[in-house]
Amino acid sequence: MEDNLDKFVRKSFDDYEELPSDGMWHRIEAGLPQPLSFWQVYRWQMAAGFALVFMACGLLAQHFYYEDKIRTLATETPAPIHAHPQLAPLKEAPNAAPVVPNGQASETTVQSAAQPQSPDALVALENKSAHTNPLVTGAVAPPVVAKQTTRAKDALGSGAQRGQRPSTPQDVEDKTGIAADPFQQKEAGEAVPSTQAVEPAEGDVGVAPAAQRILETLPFTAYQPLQPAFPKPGSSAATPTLIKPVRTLSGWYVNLSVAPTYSREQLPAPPTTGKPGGSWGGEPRKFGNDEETTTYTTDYWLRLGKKSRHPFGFESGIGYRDLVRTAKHKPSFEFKDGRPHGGGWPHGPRRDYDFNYRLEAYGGTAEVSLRMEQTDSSITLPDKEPLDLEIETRQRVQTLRVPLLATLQGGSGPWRWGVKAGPVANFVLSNKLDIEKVCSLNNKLQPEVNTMPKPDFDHTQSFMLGYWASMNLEYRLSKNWSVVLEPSVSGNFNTQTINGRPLPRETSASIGLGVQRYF
Amino acid sequence: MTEPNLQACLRGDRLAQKQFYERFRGKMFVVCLRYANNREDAEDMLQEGFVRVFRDLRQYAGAGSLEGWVRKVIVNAALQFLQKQRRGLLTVGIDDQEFPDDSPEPMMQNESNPQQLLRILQQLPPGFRAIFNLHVLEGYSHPEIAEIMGISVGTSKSQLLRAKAHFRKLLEQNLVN
Repeated sequence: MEDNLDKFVRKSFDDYEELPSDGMWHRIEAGLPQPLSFWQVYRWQMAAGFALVFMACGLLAQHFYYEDKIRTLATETPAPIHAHPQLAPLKEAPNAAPVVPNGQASETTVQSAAQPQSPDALVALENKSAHTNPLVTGAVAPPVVAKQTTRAKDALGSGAQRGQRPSTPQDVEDKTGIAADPFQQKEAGEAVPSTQAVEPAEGDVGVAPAAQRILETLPFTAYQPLQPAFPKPGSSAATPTLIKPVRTLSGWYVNLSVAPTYSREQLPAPPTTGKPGGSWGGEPRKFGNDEETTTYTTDYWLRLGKKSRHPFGFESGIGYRDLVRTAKHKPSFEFKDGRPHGGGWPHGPRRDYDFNYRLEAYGGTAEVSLRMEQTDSSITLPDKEPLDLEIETRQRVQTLRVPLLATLQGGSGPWRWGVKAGPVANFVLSNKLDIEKVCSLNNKLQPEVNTMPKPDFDHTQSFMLGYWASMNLEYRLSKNWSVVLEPSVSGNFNTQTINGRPLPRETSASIGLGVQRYF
Repeated sequence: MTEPNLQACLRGDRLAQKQFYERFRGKMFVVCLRYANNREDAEDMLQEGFVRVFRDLRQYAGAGSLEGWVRKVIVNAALQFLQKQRRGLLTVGIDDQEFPDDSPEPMMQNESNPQQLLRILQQLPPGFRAIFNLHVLEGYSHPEIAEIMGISVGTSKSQLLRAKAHFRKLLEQNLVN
C-alpha cells in the first residue's frame, strides 16, 4: 500500500545524484580483472598453429628433399662402359680374349661365335646392354619399363638412351630407393624372354662375339637372377616376393618422450614496502615466497628434428608441463594495518579485520585479503600489536612449451650421443593459486574460522621465454628406431612480469626417456 | 548522455568501462548512500557493486533498462555488504517501542531535500533501512524482500511498518530542528 511517505521519499530521490570521491574509479579498476592480452585470448590457437606450421614445414622440406635428390640422380652421368677396367685390354688388343673372372659365364663364352673387330663393337655392346638389361630401358624399353615407377624411369631411362652404362642393382636401390621388383621382372621376362627377343634399336649394329663375351663377364650380368624363367603356375616360386622400397634416411626424426622433472624457483627477496591498509587505502604491501617445497612433475614432449649438415641439426616441437608447487611466505603486519571489516559499523564491537597484501608468486601477482578475528573483543589492541603470519600456498601451472634447439650429434654404430640447446617459448595455459593454510603467531588475532581466503590471482604472465640445454645418449634399435636418454636443464629468463612485478626465476632439471623414429 | 559501449566493456576495454561507470556513478552512489551508514561504506558498496557489474555484464540480456539492471546489481552488492557484517540485518537491538503511525503530512508538502533525507535514512537501524529502501524506493514486494533478506513475509511487513514509523519520527525531529 503506497502512502504519502512513499511518494514523498521517492520524489525526493528522483533524479537525485551525488558523486563519489575522485579516486573511486581507480579503486574499481584495481578490482577488475586485467584485460585479456593477445596471448591470453589466442594462446591455444597460437600454440596449435605454430605446431601445425612447423609440422607442415617439416613435411614440405622432406618432400622437396626427395624431389631434389631424385632430380640430381636423374641428371647424373654414370661412368661410360669404356671406362670399365676389364675393357682396357680390349681397347689395346681388339682380338684378345677377355678376362673372365672365376669361370663366370662359361656357357655364353662358348656360345660366342666371333670376336669384336674394332672398338665400334663397344658401342654396339653398350646398345645391347641397354636392351638386355631390363633395368636400363629407354625408348625401346620392354614392357617392364611401363611398370617401373616414374622416379626409377626418370633416374635410369635417360642414361640408357644415351647408351650409358647402367648402374648395378645396389646403385639403383641406393639412388632411387626402389628395389628391383622380381615380380615385374618375371613379367618382363615373359614378354621379352631373352635378349634375342629384343628388337635392335635403330643404328644398332649388333653385338660382336668378343663383346658378347665381355658383356657376359661384366658385373651387371649379375642381373640375371632378376629375370629368371617364369615359374610354373602352382610352384612355390610362382608366389612373388615383393621387395619393399628401400630409402635412405632423410635426416628427419620424431621424438616422443616423458621426462620426470624437478623444479625449483629462485625466490626473490620478499618486498615489504607499501602503505598499510591493503587495497582499500593505497598501494598494498608486497610479499614473496621465501620457502618452497621441492616440486616434482613430468614433462611430455613431442619433438621433430632434422640432421641438416652433419653433425649439426635443429629440433623443435611441443611439450606440456603440469606443475603443482607449494610454497610458504610470511607476511608481517601491525594491528593498525588491518581494516575493520565493514568499517564504521555502529553496533557492537569490531571483531574482524582485513589484512590485504600482494603476493608475488610464480608467474604472477595475487591480491590476498586475510580476514582475522580478534579472539577477545573486550580488549583494545594497540596499533603496534604485531601480527606475524605463516601462509602456505598451492599453485598449479599448466604450460605449453615450444623449444627451438640447435643440435650437435655424433657417434657411430648403435650408440650415438648429442647435445642440444636453445630458447623455449613457454605459453602459460593456466595458473591458479590457492591458500592452503593460514597460521597466525599472535593468539589475539586468529584467522576467521571456516573460511579460507581466496586470492585474486589475475595479474598472471601468459608468456615466458626460457632456455633448454641437454645431452642425450641414443641407442639405435634399428635403422629407423632408437631409444633416447636425455638429461636436461631448463628455466626462464624472465625476471619481471608484464606488469613490471618481480617474477621468480624457475629452474628445472629432468631426465627424459623416449623413442625416436627416423625418416 | 551517450549510451555505454557494452561490447567494449565486455572485452575489458578500460576506457569504455570508465565511461560506463561515469554514466551511472551519480545515481548508483545515491543508492549506496541510502543503504550505508556513512559515505565510506557507500563507497565500498559502490566499488564492490561496479566490480560485479563489469564481471556479470554478460548476464545482461538486453531486455529491460540497463540502468535498472545495474541498480539491481548495486543493491545486491549493498545488501551483501551489510550481510557480511555478521550481525544480521534485522538484529539491530531496537526496543519494541511503538512509533507514532500518524504521518507528518504537512511537512511532506515542503520542498524535499534529498541530502537531509539521506541523513535521516542513515539514522535508521540497518534492518529497517534495508527494508524501507527495498520496499519504498526499489519497489520490491514483501515476498521478494523476505526472500532477499531471509526473513518471513510477516516479519518484512511488520519491520516495514516500524521502519516507516521510525522514519517519520526522525523526519519530524529533523524538521523541527
